[in-house]
Amino acid sequence: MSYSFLIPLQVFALGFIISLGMAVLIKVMLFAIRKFSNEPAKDQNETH
Amino acid sequence: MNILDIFQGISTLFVQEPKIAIFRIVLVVLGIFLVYLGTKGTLEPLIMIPMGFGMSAVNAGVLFLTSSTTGTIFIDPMLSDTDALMNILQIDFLQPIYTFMFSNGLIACIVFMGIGVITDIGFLLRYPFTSMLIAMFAELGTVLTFPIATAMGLNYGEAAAVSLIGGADGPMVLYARAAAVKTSKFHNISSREKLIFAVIANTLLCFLFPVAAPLFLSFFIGIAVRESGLDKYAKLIEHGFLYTGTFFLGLMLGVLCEASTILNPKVLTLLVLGMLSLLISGIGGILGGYIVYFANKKNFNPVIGIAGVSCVPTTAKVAQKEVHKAKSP
Repeated sequence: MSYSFLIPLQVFALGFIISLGMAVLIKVMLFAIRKFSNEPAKDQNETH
Repeated sequence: MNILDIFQGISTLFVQEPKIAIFRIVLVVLGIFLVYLGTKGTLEPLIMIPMGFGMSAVNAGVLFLTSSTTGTIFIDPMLSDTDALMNILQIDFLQPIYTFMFSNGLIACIVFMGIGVITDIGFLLRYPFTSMLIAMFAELGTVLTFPIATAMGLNYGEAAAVSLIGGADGPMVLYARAAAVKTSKFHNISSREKLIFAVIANTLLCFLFPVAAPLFLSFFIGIAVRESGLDKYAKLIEHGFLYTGTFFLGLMLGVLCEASTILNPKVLTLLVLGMLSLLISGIGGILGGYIVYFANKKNFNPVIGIAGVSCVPTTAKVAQKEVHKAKSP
């Protein structure tokens, strides 16, 4: 396969792995916050 | 004395090469047309009105810089010699904006701060896998344009730079029937969760890609300001930074569209490849939206797919407008 096709495919694959990792991180983060937090999941904007 | 020498914008038309002169007129008319499309709302007015004005002004306002050369006193983007640059900074009125904000990425960071302030990342946090999948499909233009660009003679660095345009902004129009699909509601993500995500993601991404750290910081600090409830900072960034940055971005883009620059074969190639990259990315985004639509048993609006193309929310805005039009009685 031409090298000019391989480079974007490699970058795409790396991007895919990182994106997947970020998605897993988000799920883990939300789970951890809700597990260790007593507050319900709603907006809590305070004006400063 | 030739009377036309007083009106140099016109007399330069007769001195320049015919194709540049004709293209100057074309770009003047195109600039006026972009202003018209912006005021009508067909294209994003925040960008198109300053861009259209800039484009028509820079192509009309050509003068004799010396007895034998023509140019403008708007900007010289190709200048790199320090002494010449210091000289031009005192003459060309947009040169300081270009040199100190455009070419070093400051204007992009300012716009990203504003985007962070107006962005609700709730959908991303609620559906991270769907969001990432759509974003990956919306990068299709980047992947497919790279080999096309290298085949057209660009080196790997140039091809990568122009292919990345596929992940950037671009106004797209969708088929209205996609707008008629029902969407499922999603639960709110709290501001605290969004703030914690902003802190973690910012730090992690800066560790992984320090070359893009200024953009990460800008975007996530905007999100942090929004989710912390810092209204005064949010207003400063949204109304001050974002709109100032957007205005000058549009104006600079218009002023950079000078006929002699665009007719440079290399620039023309980059323009065509950039448009191709955006087009393929748009198609990729729509494909990604439809894949999620069928995977979720039609419980997902595929219109969201094209919003994955944008690093600034114009395609999302266009998609939202088309959906609203399709759903209005």
